[in-house]
Amino acid sequence: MTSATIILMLAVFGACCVEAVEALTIVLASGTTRGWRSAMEGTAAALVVLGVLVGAVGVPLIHYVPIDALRVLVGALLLVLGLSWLRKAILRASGHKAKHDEDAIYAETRASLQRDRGVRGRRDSLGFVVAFKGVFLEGMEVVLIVISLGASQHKLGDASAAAAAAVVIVTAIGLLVSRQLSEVPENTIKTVVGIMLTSFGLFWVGEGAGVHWPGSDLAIPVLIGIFASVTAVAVAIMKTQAPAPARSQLGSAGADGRVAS
Amino acid sequence: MTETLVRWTKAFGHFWWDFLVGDTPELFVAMLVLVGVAFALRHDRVAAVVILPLLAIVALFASAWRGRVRTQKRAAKEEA
Repeated sequence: MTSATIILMLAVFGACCVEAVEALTIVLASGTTRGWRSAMEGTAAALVVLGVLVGAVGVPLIHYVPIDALRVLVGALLLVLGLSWLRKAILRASGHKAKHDEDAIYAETRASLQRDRGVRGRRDSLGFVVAFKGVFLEGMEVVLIVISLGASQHKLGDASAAAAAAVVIVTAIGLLVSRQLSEVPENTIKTVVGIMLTSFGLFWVGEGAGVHWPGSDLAIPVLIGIFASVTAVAVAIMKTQAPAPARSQLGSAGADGRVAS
Repeated sequence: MTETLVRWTKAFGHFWWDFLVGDTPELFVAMLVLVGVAFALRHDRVAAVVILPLLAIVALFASAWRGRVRTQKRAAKEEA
């Protein structure tokens, strides 16, 4: 297994963990308010659709699209996704944007589901739809990452396995503790994955266009190091520009730097 | 049937618009510029490996700075 494959699997695993935590919050809110059967059916249906999408889009991409064109395309997608995750991470870490708060999202979703007093039979359609939409929408970004990273290196199987492992682990922990995973340092994971996606994106855009990076695949860890340093510098600079209340909160933030929104 | 198809097409288009452009059109433009520069510099390896990361860094800083300004403007508006 090459270093590029290991980094690819770590990136997919991290991205999938973040999205799975977000999806789990919605499924738990749906399950506890509208019944577990519908929530589980909605979740299973969404996972099947996402799996079919990976097979239906990913496999033809690998077999029929020229590798260089594919690398530019997926590199461009990864760049947009990675830079946008990094931008959010910098704004959140420097106090310019509220942190992603699973507790607040859980409470909000529960309240919204409880307000709807529709007739609840053995199958609750609202519970099904909320769980399906939550898992499907959170999963779409993961599908794009799995297809992009997997197809560009012809490692669709490895990328899918890393994504599936993340879903299984997050679900198992969620079921074990029976609540939303607000303690997961989601913002930190998102920062790390953003750095990886940006690095992969830039690497593949270059390779696809005909630029040969020094050291070939070894350029990826170097790019990761560069973007990690840039992110740290950007956060430090932006912190000095943070509004006064946010700056005082930054001092008492935990490991995740979670700031009450 | 047609109505459903239109609704699905609109949702599909909306998803891609949100994903690629959303509230950060500058990052979409930066991606296009990076792809263009990569092709333009494909025969000049040294320039490409220096300029491509630099451009991505500039785009990231510019977008984060724009986000900061927008947040501050929104906060000022709410205060007023």
